Amino acid sequence: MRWILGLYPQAWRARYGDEMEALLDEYPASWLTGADLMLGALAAHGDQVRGLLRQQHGIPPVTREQCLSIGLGVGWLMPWLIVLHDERAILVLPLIGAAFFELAFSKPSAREFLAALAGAIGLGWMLGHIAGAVACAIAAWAGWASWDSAPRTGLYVRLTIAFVMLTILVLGRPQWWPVLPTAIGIGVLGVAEGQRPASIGPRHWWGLGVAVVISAAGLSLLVYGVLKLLDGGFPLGWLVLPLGTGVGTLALGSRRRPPLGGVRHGYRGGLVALALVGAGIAALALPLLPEDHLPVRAGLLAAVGVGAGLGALALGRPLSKGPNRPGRRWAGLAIMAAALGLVMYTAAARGTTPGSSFITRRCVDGHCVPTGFLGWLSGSRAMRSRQSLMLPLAAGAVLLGAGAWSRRRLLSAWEPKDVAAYPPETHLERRPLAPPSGDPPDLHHTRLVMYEGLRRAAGRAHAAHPHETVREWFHRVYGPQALSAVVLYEEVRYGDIKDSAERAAAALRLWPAAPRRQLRSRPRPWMVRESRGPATRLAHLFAVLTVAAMSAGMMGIVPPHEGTGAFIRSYETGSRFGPSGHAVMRSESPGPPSG
Amino acid sequence: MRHDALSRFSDVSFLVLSSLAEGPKHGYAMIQDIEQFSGTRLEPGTLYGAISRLERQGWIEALPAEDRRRPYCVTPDGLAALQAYVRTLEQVVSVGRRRLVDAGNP
Repeated sequence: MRWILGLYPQAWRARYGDEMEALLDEYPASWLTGADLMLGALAAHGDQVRGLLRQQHGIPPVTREQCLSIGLGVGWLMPWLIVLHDERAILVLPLIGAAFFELAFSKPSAREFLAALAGAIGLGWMLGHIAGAVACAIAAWAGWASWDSAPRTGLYVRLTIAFVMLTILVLGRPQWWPVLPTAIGIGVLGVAEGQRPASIGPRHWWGLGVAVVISAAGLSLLVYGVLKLLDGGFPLGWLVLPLGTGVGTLALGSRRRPPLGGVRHGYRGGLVALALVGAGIAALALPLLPEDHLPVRAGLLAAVGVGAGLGALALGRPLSKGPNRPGRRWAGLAIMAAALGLVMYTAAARGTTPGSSFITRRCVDGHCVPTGFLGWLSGSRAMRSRQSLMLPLAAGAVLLGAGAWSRRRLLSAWEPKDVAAYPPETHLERRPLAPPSGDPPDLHHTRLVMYEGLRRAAGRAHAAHPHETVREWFHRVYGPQALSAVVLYEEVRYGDIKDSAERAAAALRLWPAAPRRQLRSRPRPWMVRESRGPATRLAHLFAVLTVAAMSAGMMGIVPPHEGTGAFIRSYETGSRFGPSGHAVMRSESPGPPSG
Repeated sequence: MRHDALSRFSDVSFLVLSSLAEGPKHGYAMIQDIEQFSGTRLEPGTLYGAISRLERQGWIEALPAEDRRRPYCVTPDGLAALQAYVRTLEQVVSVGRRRLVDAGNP
């Protein structure tokens, strides 16, 4: 029954989660209890929305992570749209990415962000009609509503839900089910994130060993399936591999958080990205899959998209080495997005079959022509114009230009008045650290105490936002009296440490020192001081609307759009390909005049 | 004993305030107390929905947690609201009873 508590909003769980669990331990639960909890979760989401409407403090900026999560969601969605509808959808991917990245780096207001989101959903509607719009909303909700928690459990679990629901809603076909274990793997990842133990022990190494065995088995099945040595091996391998990744994540989840946090996240994200991108690209690069094996190709492409996003985030965090250096992370994202766009362009340029290799041929009546990238190079002018690479390249240039411009603006936009932009998180529990020892206090020990404070602060809900300066960060967390801590930080960090030790004991009393579990269960003012409240609340509204729309679709209230699935059916019936499975190319020359 | 889905739509806040008027209680103790004096068994989701609303209104407040259980107590504003609500109910009850008598249905 406890799993239902995960459906409640994050802030609600932070406030009431522990005592609710204690109550459920004593309470004789029945099916009615489960239904009541679900209704309670819906009501809590509704309360959040009502709280938003009552709020009089304006709409705060949307955080960069939320924008990025939307970008990832849309990026994940696009391959499905390409498969289901039109290869021209490839053209909008970099543009959408550029829009969200730009928003991410310019600290937009929620209104601006909602406008961009509406635009994305409009594109989804245009490309995919009802299914596409709903899918956009699901992906947006999954990323947006979940990125506000320090442990990423919520994100991964909701992404899992989004994967499963989208698979059922848009696809609903058994051959697409290999996507599901990917979702399960991501969910396991999230659980591991939220439940990592404090120390590593033998059982964790055992878990890692089991993960290696499972992953090896999955990879072997993939290879055997690709080489056609084992019938059905490829989908089976695709089923097994994410499970291995999940188990490995559980095992690796026992690693202690390193100083200043983040590297472990990067390592784990890199692991997942490696699994997804490696498997996906390996299969995509080998043109050995059956020509009409569209679902697997599309699934691989989607995996590459997700893996690319995770890889970018994983690369960005350790490279940035702190809260104020977003440039490298942004560069990683841009590179990944550009690579993904090229892969997808190639898929589209080959002629609506996603996941094709760069060097392919298509034969019609015994006459073979190169397609894909080589086809663009050697094809006719009409083919080049139809498969023009210029638009995606232009979109990529827009992406890079927007990023460079926003970064420049970010670096030059800080002003002292920005310090007051965020209300201090006065609800944080604070306990003093052990003061530096020695008389006078030992300088090295002062530095160690300071870094211990940073270590405790990093990676939690009140950690520095990526776009924040140190002053903004300290002001948000500690309030106006944080200036002494800022000065101390700067002195320790940059070497001007003449009298730091004397002030350390006083300044370090500001550090939040509660252990992780206490921070998670501390009383938090409900509905008032959620720093990302409005965006999250609106996202929950999205969630409710999405679930309603999906329910209506599943119950047949909303008729399925004729275009959804028609594309796949055209493959299956051979209307887009000839009876031999090769493409049917129309002649553009007019026929002989009659009479 | 009433144990139906309609309990969600009854005035749960009134029941919670009435229970806490006796003294601080945690969630499970509230469920047991309300079941005892009103015959209504609140489910956890309903109870905590009411608790969050009452806490937001400032009518109840949380006390320091005991183990994982957190007791709540009613605030002076909550007591005033409860008194006003009880007076309203008493007025409704008296009017209803009088009209029933007038209609010949004592």
